Amino acid sequence: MSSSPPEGVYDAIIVGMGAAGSVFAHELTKAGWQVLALERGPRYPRHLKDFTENDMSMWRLLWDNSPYQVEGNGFHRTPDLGLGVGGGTLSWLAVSPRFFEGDLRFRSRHGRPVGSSVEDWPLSLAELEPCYDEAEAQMGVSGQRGPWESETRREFPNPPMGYYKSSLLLRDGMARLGIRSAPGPVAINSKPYQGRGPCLNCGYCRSGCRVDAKYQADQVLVAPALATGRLDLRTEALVTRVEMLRTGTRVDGVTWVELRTHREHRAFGKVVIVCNNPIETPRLFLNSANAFHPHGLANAHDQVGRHFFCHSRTLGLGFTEQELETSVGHGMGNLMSLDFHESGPEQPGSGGFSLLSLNGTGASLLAAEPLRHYMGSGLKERMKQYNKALLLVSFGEGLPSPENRITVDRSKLDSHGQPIARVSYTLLENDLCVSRAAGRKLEEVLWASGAREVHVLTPALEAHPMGTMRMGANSRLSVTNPYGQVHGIDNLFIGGASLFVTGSCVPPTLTLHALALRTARHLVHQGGALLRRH
Amino acid sequence: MTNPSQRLSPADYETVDALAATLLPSDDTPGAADTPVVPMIIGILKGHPEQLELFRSALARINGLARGTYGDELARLPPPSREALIGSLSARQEFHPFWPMFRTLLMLCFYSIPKVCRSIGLPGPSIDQGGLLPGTRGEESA
Repeated sequence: MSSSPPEGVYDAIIVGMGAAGSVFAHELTKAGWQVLALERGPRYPRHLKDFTENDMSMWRLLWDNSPYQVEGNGFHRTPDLGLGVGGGTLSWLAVSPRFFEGDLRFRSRHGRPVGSSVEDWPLSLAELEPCYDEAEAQMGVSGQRGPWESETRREFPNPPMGYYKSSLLLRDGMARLGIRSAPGPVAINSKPYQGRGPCLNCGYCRSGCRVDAKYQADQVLVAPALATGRLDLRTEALVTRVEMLRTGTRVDGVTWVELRTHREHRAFGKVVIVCNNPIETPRLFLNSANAFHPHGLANAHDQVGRHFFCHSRTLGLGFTEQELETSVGHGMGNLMSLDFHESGPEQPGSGGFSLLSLNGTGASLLAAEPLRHYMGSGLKERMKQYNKALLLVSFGEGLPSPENRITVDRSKLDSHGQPIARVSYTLLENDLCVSRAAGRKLEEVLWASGAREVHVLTPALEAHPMGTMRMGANSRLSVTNPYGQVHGIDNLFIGGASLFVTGSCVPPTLTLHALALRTARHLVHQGGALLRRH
Repeated sequence: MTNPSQRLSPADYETVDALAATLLPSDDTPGAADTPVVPMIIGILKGHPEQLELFRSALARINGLARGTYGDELARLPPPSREALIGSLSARQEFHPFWPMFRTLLMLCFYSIPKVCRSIGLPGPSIDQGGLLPGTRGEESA
């Protein structure tokens, strides 16, 4: 408790210390704020000792999706959401492209596909670009400007990773089909960067990087925040309610449970920033209903939990005759193509898909997904060819819908008496159209790259949950303003992918990091007034 | 002490063993029976009572199907009948979500076991030896 404020009221309380929460902790403590951070999972302070090079080790770094009630055909509990200080950045594969301007103008460009609730983002790429620059610098992104990007974009902090053998085959295969490619921007050091060493190609990114070549928020952002002496970090601490005790327009703090002892605590803060994942953030708001907000915090317009969407993840595998050392190297995006990030003749739906190479030790995923129709010797003989395999993944843009949403089931409580979340997610026709196009393209590329046997997993599975607390100018159609400030509650903020209005076809972490930086800067600039008003 | 209703019975265990050994038989490389993969799966289920119940009821239905179709429990069927029955499970809606969940869990656990990884050419841990250095790479991208 050395970091506790003397008057018992923190300047800010951060709920969830994942990719976004870590940004807030870093920025606010740097600005002199006294911060309490509450994280459901543990902290791993010594990565070299705490992480192990084994695929099963990743499971303790992942959020448990199994308790959720599920409705619809779109949610198979596969999203790899993070748990622990650093959140998803512990187990992520670190692919870090920026969104395009067109991604933020989806409704203006494409209208509203049937069943969807797409809107334009309430901010432009130009507004986000300085934060993208800074996010890339904090993460140490390695890359080179792709043919899809503006010539004015800032250089990456690190040069690109070298291509692996399998990437060269895929690059040539794509070139035969007229598809452009480039080394994917990855938040993995290609050379020593800010005290962190370069990637050693071990192949176990998913299990946590033991040498911190991969950006992991706990090491890069939380450790310096702790060093300021202004961060009170509580781990294995579950926040059960955001408390509003005096007025309907300001929150006062949170109630949280110490998971090791089951003791309940209340903490008070001048500002509360909720950075849970896009399922748990609306769950917390709905479970925080009070006399001022009887339908859930900030839910007067029934927007909390709505407009949920994910990427569709399609995995392709092609066996070659060559030894490719597929198991060696960083996990994703050694090669990338964004040629299909927009609709086109080969992708008639609205939105697009990405193509990303895969490497590393994820053999189990191969057996579980693209080879799922095999058993016995047919399966084992194929698995013995793992190091001759070309692996590609595609993320397809899924669209938000008002009916795809997170609600709570008040008849089913967790062990702390809180209603659990219900995930209602039915894929739209446009989602299916995009993932079918992605599957066809994966297959073409794998054949063109020299594969003699190709398997593409269909239907796609979901990845990267987004939405549910979306930003917008209109409080009837959104939950927060463009700074993640909750409509009508001026000291309550949101961080993370739950703010996203639409989701592009590239992984969301760089963008949610940039958004968190933008909100944190806003808080620091505007915060004096917020703090005085307490 | 664990509540008996929160455990798999010996018969359930036998059925899981049979499923695993049929999906991943021993050959010139280790199979499920040569590894602790089944105890790994059971260990994971222990923390998830709802999933455990899903498993118990699905295993009972699999044995019901085995008896109805081939006249005996799955674990006692000859290999061809066992393979035919297991091969049909993925298409049977009544075994969802058990079947995809079980198969995925089995593969994730099995292909993380060090001797299995070595048998398919995965390098295993390398960081403490300095990682995997150039020579494993192709040409530079830049």
